[in-house]
Amino acid sequence: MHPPGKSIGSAVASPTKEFFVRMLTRDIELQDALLDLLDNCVDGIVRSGAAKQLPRPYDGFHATLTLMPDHFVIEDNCGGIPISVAKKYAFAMGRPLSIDAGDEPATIGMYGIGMKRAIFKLGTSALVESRNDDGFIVEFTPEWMQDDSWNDLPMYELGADKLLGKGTIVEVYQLNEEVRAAFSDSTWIDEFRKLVSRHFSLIIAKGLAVRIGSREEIEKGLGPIVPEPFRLLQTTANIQGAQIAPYVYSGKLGDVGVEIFAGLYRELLTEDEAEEEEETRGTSDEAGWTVACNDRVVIWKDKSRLTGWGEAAVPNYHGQFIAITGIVLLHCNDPKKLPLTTTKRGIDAASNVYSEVKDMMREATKNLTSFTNKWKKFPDKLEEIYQSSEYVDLDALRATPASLAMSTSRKLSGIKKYEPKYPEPEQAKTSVKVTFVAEKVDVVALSKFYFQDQKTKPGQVGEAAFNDAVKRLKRPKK
Amino acid sequence: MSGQSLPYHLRPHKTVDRRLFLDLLARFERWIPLNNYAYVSMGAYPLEDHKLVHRLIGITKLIAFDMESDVVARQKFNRPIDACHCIHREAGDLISNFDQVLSECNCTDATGVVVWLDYTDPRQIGRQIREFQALLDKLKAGDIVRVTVNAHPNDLLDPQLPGSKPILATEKMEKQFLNLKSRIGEFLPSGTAAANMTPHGLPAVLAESFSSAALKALPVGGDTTFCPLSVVRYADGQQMLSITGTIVARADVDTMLDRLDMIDWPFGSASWSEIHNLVVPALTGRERLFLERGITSRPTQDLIAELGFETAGDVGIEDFLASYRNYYRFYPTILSAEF
Repeated sequence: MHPPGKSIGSAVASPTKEFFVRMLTRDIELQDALLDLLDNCVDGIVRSGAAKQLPRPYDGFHATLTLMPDHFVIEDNCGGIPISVAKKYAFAMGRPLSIDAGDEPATIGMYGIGMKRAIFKLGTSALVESRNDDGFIVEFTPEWMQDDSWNDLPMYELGADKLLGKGTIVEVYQLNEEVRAAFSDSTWIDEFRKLVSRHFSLIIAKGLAVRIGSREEIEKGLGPIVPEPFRLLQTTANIQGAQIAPYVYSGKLGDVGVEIFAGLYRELLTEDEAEEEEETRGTSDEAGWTVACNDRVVIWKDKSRLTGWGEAAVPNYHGQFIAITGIVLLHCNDPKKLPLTTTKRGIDAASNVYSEVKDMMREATKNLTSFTNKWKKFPDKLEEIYQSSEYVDLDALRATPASLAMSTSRKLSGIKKYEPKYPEPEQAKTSVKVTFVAEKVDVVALSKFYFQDQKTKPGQVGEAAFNDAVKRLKRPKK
Repeated sequence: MSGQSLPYHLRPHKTVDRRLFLDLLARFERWIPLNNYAYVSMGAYPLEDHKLVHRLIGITKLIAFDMESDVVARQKFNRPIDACHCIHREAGDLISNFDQVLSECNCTDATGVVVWLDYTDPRQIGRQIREFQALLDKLKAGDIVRVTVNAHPNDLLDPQLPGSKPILATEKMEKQFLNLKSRIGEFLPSGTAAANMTPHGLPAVLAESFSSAALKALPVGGDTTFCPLSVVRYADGQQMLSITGTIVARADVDTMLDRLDMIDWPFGSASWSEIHNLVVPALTGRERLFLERGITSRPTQDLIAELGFETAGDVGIEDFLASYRNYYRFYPTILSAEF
């Protein structure tokens, strides 16, 4: 529709570069911007078709991040960028609609913004060197960064002797103030290593070698990052067929492959430990849900409503549930169908796929919380069950659906599940818990009387006094 | 022998470590005068550190705290000046209510605070690191924090029952590592492994863990940072690690370090990983007087030759002299006296 009247020209509507860069980078943390660059490395391997056989498709590939107060470098041998892709859209702000990612193998990147956003976040001068077929260099200058026009970036030929192994180097200079402060701080760099060991745990476990450090550390032979493992406890079944074992869900929701494993990774807390955990957060780092999309961990050990805690019939997370952990693995060739956010730290909670996945997560969490609640009064007996327990790692867990008697989910026809029968405390039927508050001096007096020690735990003192009273009551009367 | 079971005045390493702390505080006054600071520390029953900061630095705003009411009662008897407040609180509770505690103890007008968290229980290391982080959240530029924790690898395991089968060292280190990991989880430096569970390795791991907590409290995007000034390990029985540092504006770090001339102070640490080993063997009065006279002027080998022995207890004299040269002024004289 055209408004009435004669055209008198046009009004500028394009974004200023300063505005664009500020908006693009303000909602992403520096660490996440760097993780985007690592995502590109993995996508490079996948897109180039160079990935090897499972279980270690990324063996032989590496990415090295050099973090210095005055410059940043990431160098990889992960396939590089084809010159045609570089010319058409690799450096455009967002992937054009005409480029259909649907036929590609499962990648993580989907918006075509990660590398540019990372460069903007880091500094104002950058060089991107890459070789897949014809090697090239693209330059971001401070002048281009400040200029409001959106001129194409200059490209240059890459020296014939550089990046012969097919890879990419991104170098950034004139770092922003926050970046300089971060890269000057060895503790910040180590925190970033820890973040990578979590969010790339599955990818590193599949062979990608990631090194992060100062130039000096890397030249001295700094080792690659060790991935944080995921593992669950399993025991052999008792006479009634009950055992501690992972809950398993496996199948497809539309085009999205789903695998869920949930269970216990450690012994339950004793009552004293649980009380202390309530007072001051202690050791719950390993508890909670981890979610990975195409192997990239987007949520690490979450204990909030985001992963179903405190929703529907599931209680809120607290110290008693410290042993409960789970992992969700979602796979899809089209990353747009995964519940990824642009920062890849967090999840699109409104997505239908995630909503259905969360139903399963809640079901497993609810069963596991019921188990811990039933046993918290009888930790001594539970120790006997744990004695025969062993850890099962993720590779072994992923192989379990083939050997388990899986049943089909009533609601989700594409999903099969295995719900282990957990042991129940026999004493629960005949016993009751007794708690009460007493004067400290009286507890000390009874402690000396029963144990000749005034520092026995109050619970044990109370139990001794109770048992003594019961014994006297039951003693045959003369 | 447990260091904790020794009476306070018979712990030579602790005594020297405390005197080094006082020396560092005196040096800190080149940056900011401390006479109007508040000094907050556990102090235990003798309040030795409270006495020293009062006598040597002139601080009068003194606060001592302890979780045991009996200890607090004894502190009240031993306090160096009437104005010293002795309060019954746990460290975590004191930190949560830090401003309120300063107010109750009439210290709100103090220009800054010096806080010493002197922990002992190795099982609570996770809680101790979190309390350190929580404390930094409450402090401002110019405040000084010192934290002492157990750094003895063997204390990461429950003692073996007498007569039980001995555990291989590698297996023991693996268990120590898993226990430490479960206690301090997110703070543990990347790449930490069972091989780090040694008297040399564990203090480095713990120091980096405190560094991680400091960064969480004061992220790189903020105006201030926690700058470590001295990191020292020592053992009166169990090995302990003492970390002392200050909150400072990021823009002022270099100026402050220049002013304190930390490079010239022998127990200064330019980073969390620069950890000094304090070695204080028991010397006889004659040995001490001999060494004190020659330590600044004579070569180590001359001194060893004249002493005529190469070890004192289980400490090599050469290692000892390397450390002693830096702290001889503070070597405690422990005498039996009749009152």
